[in-house]
Amino acid sequence: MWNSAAISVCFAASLVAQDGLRVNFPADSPVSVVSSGWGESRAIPRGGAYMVDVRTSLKLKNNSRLRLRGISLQVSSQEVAAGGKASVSVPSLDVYPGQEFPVKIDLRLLQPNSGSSPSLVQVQLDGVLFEDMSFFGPNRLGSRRQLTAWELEARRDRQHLKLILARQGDDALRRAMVDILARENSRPKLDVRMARSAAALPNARSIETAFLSQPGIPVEGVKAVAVSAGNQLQILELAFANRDKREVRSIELGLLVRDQEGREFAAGSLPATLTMKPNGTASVQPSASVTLNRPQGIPLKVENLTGFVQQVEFANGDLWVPPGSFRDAARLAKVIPGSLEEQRLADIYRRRGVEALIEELNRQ
Amino acid sequence: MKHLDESQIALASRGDLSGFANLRARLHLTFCKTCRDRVAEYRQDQQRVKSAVAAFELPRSMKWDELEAEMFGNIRLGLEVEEIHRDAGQVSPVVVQHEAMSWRGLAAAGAMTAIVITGWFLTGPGAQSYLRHGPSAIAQVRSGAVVLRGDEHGVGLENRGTGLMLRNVSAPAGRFEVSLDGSVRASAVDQDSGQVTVSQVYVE
Repeated sequence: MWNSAAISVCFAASLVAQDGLRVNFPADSPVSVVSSGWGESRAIPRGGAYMVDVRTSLKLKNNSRLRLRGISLQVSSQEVAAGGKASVSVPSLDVYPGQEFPVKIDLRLLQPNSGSSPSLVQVQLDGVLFEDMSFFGPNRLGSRRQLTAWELEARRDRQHLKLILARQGDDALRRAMVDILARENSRPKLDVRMARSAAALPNARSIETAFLSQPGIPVEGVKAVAVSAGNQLQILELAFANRDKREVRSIELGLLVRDQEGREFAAGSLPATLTMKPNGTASVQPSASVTLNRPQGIPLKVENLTGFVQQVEFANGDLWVPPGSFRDAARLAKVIPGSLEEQRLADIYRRRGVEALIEELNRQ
Repeated sequence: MKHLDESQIALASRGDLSGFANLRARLHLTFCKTCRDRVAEYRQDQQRVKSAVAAFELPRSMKWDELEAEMFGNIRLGLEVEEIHRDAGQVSPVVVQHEAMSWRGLAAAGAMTAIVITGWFLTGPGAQSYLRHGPSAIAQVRSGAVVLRGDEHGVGLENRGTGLMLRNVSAPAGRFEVSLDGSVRASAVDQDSGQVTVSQVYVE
């Protein structure tokens, strides 16, 4: 016992001693690293492998002249989990020029106990977004689109809550937040398992498909072909038409499924990179099958698939997200989660009350 | 020469022998290598215990600060919901439920609490093992040998016995989303900074 405990401690200690964390930001980055390094770390023997838990809080500084709204970092390790990537992003920030801010990374590595040295973990900047929506970074993980969409949603939702406060007062804001929290807790949950494979589902049958009507939408879904077999779903084709004057670079489609009893569930999203000239069309053929289960592993038999456009990225860098009223109008609020900003503000209200929320809304 | 017994060695290793016994043990240890080695072994073991204790980390569910903040948040929220119900002329269903609770209900609640606490101690921190496949998975993406997973602990990727996981920044499970292009995303609000943090894993 002492032997394994000692090895665990030594393993974790050597990770720290060998400076197992490497933080690389570009030389011209508007965000600099003030301090980095592992905080708490420990290694636990697990069969023939080691689980190494490492926690760090990077301290970063905004060296630009603009307020920083979001940051995305790529986390990787050459020795473990080849074939995949990971990232940590913090949206909804409000970091003034010259201000420092923390980004926590709470990591667990699993590596074989082959006597090799502990893995080196690399943290690289993927992108930062500023108040004027300008972006800096290599954008290898598509952080520009993601951070911009989160910021647009954040502005939309803050504006909505500010309007409630201005027009109807504190009590109405309190009720709105209680509604958000109630929806968050009662939203039906679904276990979604996706396998990337182009193989056809055996005994599959065509299911009903539809796109939600969204007023003012720049890209419209025009065709969807999907099949299901029991609780397995396969989307064979999706076609879209560009109704905007700008060229489209990518879209993100939200997916809803309905079971035999008419219950609706959110089944994830489908981002698709497709080029569509103004008034042009394009289609995608996702090569994936999805297995859907309700909690406790009860299979969900899919009767109907509905798509709705939740993001459109234009070739000029502009981004479109649906207006806040869309979720309520389409009765989606009970099924799909709100924005990350809504999640953050609801947490402030839940923990610190309506006064703290009002202070937060007035701060930005 | 008669060696020191185990209790004398244990006490000597911590400097806990007193008076004449201490003097006699010191004198013996000056000449006896066997007993000196035993004392050294005891001291090494004590050091290992200290290191192991220092390395032990409470599971997230036992972080008192987070639990306290969570508890006060929920109490405050409960009071506000009740206030809203009162303003609207309704009696809070929570209050009705409390008044209707009999001694049988209380006994059942107590028994349930005991079961939950016992269950936690039986499964303990080991139950936090992430890279264990089980029914708790909320999201999973498989592409060849690479598997992405999201569950109540965070999101992670595995490939042939190696893995990397980004754990949630706060105890309550965040939101999860599967993206059919091959990624799993989780978001949670960090209780220290108030920041919402998004962890995401992708298939390359």
